[in-house]
Amino acid sequence: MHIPSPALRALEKLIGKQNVCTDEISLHLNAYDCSLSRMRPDLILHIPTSDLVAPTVQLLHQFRIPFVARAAGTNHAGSCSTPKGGAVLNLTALNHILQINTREGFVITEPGVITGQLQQALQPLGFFYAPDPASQAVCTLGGNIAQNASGARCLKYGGTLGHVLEITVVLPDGKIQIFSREQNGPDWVGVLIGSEGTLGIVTRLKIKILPTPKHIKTFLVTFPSLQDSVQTVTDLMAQGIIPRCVEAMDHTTLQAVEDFSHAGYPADAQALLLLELDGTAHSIKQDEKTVETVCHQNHALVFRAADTRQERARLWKGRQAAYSAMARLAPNVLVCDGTVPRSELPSTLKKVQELLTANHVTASLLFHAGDGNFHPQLVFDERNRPDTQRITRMAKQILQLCVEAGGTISGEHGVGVEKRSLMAVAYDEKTLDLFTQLKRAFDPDNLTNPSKIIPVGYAEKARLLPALSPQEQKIMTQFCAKLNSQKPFLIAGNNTSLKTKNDVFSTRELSQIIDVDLTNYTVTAQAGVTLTQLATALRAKHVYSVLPARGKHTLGGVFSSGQFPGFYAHVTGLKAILPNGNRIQYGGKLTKNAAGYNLVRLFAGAQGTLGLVTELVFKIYATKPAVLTPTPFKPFTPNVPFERLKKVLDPHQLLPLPPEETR
Amino acid sequence: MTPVWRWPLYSFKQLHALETPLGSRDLYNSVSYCNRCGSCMQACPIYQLTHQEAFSPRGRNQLLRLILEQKLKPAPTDPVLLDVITSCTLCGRCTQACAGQIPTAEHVLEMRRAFSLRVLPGFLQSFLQLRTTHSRIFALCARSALLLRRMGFVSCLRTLRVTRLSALRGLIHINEILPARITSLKKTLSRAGQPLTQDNPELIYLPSLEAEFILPDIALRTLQRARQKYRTVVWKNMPTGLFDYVYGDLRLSRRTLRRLITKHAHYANGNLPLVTDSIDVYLFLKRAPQLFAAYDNWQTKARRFAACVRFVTDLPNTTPPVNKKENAGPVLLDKSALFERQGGPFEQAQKNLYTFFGKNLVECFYTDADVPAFGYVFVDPKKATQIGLKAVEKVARTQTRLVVVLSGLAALELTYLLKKFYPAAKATHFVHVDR
Repeated sequence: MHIPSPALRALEKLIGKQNVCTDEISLHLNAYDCSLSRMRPDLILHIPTSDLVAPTVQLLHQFRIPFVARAAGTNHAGSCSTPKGGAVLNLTALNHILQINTREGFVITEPGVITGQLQQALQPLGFFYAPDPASQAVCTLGGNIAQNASGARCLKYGGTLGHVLEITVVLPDGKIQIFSREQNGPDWVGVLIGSEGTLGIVTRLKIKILPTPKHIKTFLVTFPSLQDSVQTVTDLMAQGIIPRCVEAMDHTTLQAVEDFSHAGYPADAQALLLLELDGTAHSIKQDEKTVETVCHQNHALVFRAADTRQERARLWKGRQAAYSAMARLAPNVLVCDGTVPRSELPSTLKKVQELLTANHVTASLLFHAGDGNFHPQLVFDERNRPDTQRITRMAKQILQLCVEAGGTISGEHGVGVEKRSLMAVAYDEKTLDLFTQLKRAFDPDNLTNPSKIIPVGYAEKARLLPALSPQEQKIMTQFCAKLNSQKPFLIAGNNTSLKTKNDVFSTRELSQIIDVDLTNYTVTAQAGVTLTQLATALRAKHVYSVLPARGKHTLGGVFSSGQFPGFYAHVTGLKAILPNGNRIQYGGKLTKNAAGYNLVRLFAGAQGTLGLVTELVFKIYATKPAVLTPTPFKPFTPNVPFERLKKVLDPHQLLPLPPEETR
Repeated sequence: MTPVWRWPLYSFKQLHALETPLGSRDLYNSVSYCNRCGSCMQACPIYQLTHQEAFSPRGRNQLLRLILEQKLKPAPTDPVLLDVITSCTLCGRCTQACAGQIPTAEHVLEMRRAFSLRVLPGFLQSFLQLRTTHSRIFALCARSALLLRRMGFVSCLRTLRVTRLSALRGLIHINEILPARITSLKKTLSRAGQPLTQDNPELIYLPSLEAEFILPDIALRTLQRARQKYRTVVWKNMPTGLFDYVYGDLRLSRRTLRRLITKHAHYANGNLPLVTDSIDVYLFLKRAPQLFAAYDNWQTKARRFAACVRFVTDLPNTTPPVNKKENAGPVLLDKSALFERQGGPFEQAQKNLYTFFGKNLVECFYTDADVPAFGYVFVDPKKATQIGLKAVEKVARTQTRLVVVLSGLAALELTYLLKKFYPAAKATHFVHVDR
């Protein structure tokens, strides 16, 4: 696209002539990231200080120039490429750690800070930042937020989503907005994390840090089958042990890694697990016995433990060399990123292996056994076009297998441009519609990182949702009838929080606990289930949730009222009916999901204003976790993106904000 | 826009194949192994200064690839191209960080050769090239230049502000960088009672340019250590071709190296080990076979020659004084070098220093800053100083008292920076640590 000269002049005046590049070399060298996509931008803007981001975006908005924020450019999905041309905002110079507060456990930084450098800064203070993407030596915190990056420690500590407290965002029109976890209403921080820079540009972030565990112990265990290795992880969780890391590899990878790194891994095993425990010396000692017993129960062949830093480094040597081992075989390595429920991992991996063997593809298979996220690394030469096409086709087939197994197309790498078409495989038309509407609510002019995440012409290609059960159908009909009456009403469960006398739609009929899954440790329950009902069902199976064991609150109320913000992190999926009568479905029994906007966080705390949540999937535990206590109910004040979204979804305000008397 | 690159590339001004850690590859193949993962970015001192993709190793590799694929045809005078290619310090940190061990420094040199870029100031280029073409005249000129300096010529130029001219900018701090008194190698050796030759030699010592003309005590100390075990002969004023490999014409470098290989082959059965005191010279001589990829006969000879090359870390150790370990304070190894900073000599140096200083030896990481190697200060003085200051910052942060370097040039530059910004620490060449 053509960049008008007045725009160039204004930008040069604002950020300095040396920071505005339009030469061919700079443009070509900002056209790629770690994916296969190459798209040449028309303008490169090197932003020297964070206070210049907003005025720069204002200028770009004024001249209607699309723009993409870019930092280290290490993502695997083409998230920072420029399909529509326009400007690239290079934010790598915004690399200052502004505050480290160990007393309250947070850090305030700029987005260009390298994750590994933050870890180095925290280490002498006895703290650490829990998300640990494999590329942490080079990736930036801003990039981590854009992709909702996570790593080996995700099973115990969660991904980036769980560790960000507040973000300052420059919206696509150049206005600055602060989103905080302390604000009422939808969890906008959660919505923005993983949005791949399509909703705005983060210029400052406040993140949570944790005290470094005093003791860490690593175990290397080999198994005669993949099934045994995954069963071991499930059994450990059943014993209440959540390891710090559970990394795994299959036989083929094991051999390739051992040939390359000589890490001393037993190369004859069919599966290898690297387990790591952290905590106090006493707790580790106790857990170690259980880990050993569980591993042997699952036919472990070799069980090695490492205490000291050197010994642990030796055990990790092979795992860390896995990428290098593949990178030397051919010019390119395509790292796929599929996620399935943990229970589906062995069968999916088997299918993937069969697919790779049938197509004669050289690949390694690494997976985070704890969270069902796996990374086949396919080697190829991108100069060979048919070979590249074959490999990309293969990658798509692998991700389709994940979706078929109840999983998703990305656990931590995002969608970008490369997996855009697969979004139609993962989601139905109405859910994709909601993604589009959410994008438009933030960015009506489609300027920020356009042409990402949402597929083109998805209406015909999108998957179909499974048919509704008679009970769901009945609720749907009732809800639509209520909407059709064109009179505003509120959604309530037992009316415990709202205590309103206004017209309400009750979810009391949705009172079924559909599934208590003891492999994936999730519950699928309808929104009208009360806390007492839930606790009774869980107690029967000797499992626990983070919710109080007693109370008239319904699950829908707990989720939507905003009284239990700690609960959001445990919810992994939902079903809802929108004010326009569309039904949507997001997530499932997945620990990780980086495909599309996080709809769980959009509906969380929305107080029923965005639609009726009918079903929730959330995590449960084998041991009693700390139980959440409710905060008083407070209606929220809507912000601009909310109002825009509401205008599209519910133009007649049929699901209004809770009335004044509850305020 | 003039297309300057022809493909396939078989010009004698270029390398025909690169000897990468993962085997021999032609240039296009070598650069195609860059998967754009970005692991190299944070290792690059220039990227850390500029924060721009074009100045990162990944950017340089992609630029070369685009040029080779003719997707980008920059003019040789394109200022961005010049800036991107000349700014690389050739330190090889990126290669160390890369899973595929991509030799980005070699790729940058190939680009410089293809575009016939001169990166050194003109007078310095011509002067140093004399060493290859007319080594005796060079020696004479060098001695005259040092004499002129003693007579206050540089101070005079500075007073007249002539050093502000870009061609002479390298001379601004030359008085502070060079030692106050410089004695000739011959005089230094004869004073110490070390003859240049010995009968039935077992080892050849090839002093680097700086050891021969500026820091003869490095040459003396190397010789003393070598002669503890081996009868050693000194090959004086013997250019290696490194200067032309980095800054000049590859053909000239090849010719000089061929001369050295021939001399070595004809000297005492051609299998004597040859030791040098500069890590840059060592690493260059080790990659001698790479220069002769298109000449099978010469490549075999070059391989035989490279197998004989040794570094001062291979020489026998002397025991440090008893109180050295305790009193040394923190000691740091500055890995300033061309092309790479891992493998044999670096590990050996680290090991030797550990036996000398024990826990006083500060742990080094590949991301730690070192002073730029082999005359980069004349290529881009501003960036060189910024990178050098980062190295000083690391020294100050670790409260290091002694910084050990593996080449005389790095010792000179670091001594200058430390004197100016952190006088509590001193820089010394590896051969001097046991003193």
